[in-house]
Amino acid sequence: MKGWYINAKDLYVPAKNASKYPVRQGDVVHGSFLPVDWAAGQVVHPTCELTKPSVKTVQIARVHALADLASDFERQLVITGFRELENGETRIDAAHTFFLPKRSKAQKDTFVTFRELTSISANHLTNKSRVLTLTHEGRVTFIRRWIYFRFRWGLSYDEVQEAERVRISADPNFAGPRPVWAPLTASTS
Amino acid sequence: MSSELIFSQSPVGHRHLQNKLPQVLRETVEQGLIAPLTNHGVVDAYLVPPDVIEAFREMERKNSVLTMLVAAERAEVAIPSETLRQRGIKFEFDADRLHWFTTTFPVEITHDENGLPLRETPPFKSEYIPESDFEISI
Repeated sequence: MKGWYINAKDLYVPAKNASKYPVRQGDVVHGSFLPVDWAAGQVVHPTCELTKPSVKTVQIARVHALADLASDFERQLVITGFRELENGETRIDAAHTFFLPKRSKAQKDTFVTFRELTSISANHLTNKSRVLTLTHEGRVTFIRRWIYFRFRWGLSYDEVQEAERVRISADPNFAGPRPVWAPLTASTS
Repeated sequence: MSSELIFSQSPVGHRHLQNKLPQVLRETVEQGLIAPLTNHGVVDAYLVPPDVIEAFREMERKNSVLTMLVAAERAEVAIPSETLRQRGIKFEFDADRLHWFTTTFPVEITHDENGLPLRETPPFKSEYIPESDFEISI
């Protein structure tokens, strides 16, 4: 399987365009609603749940600064998501993390740990509290990593994107700009 | 396994293979020999022991990893590599360069975190399933 990540410039929606996109799974939020020692939180709750009136709380994973790790070696593992061993193996590593490279030089590199979860009120998921908006392609990389962590299922980028394409193309109520690879198709109902 | 490919001294004819398959396997691949399969004296296939195929796969994998290591060394990027570490090849950690390398170079990940080879997932077809509006009462 190919590596995990795409370039930082392709991972995030530019801040000036972010308001066109509703808050979705993979976006990063910040605010006093998070535990005090959290740098930020990544929405790991499924996107299709977020707009349901019955959903009062949503699941968030903890974001850390990359600098908080104890060594450069650990930072390497988080950035790559794999390590090379001498016997010709490239082995998945730090599977419980998702690297969030800085968007500009003024920012810091961060990463998410899927092992540290909390729930917050769904009301806190607003454009104002959102600090990073994933592109649709960025969300594919996030979902791929999340599926591997939860189920140890090693899907390719293309497989996850295809599943997203099928879902989004069939959804006439999809909010915000559509991915170019998932145009609306005729309703099958 | 030795890197040398050892061939059976005598080719195996189609008809002989058809009639004496267990014996042919015992005398060839079970002995680690590659056997040419012939039809009217022309080789049209080979019987190959499974460990030879596995060795080829291993070589292919190592070649892919080697290409990555050479690229990392040339670009002077510190990647988490046991091979480079054991050879004393060390570069200063630079998160930006490592991220650039990881997202630019077509890295092939071969094993899961427990060291088991990653298997190709069987092909599956995505299907859209509309969600029900029904909610349980909790």
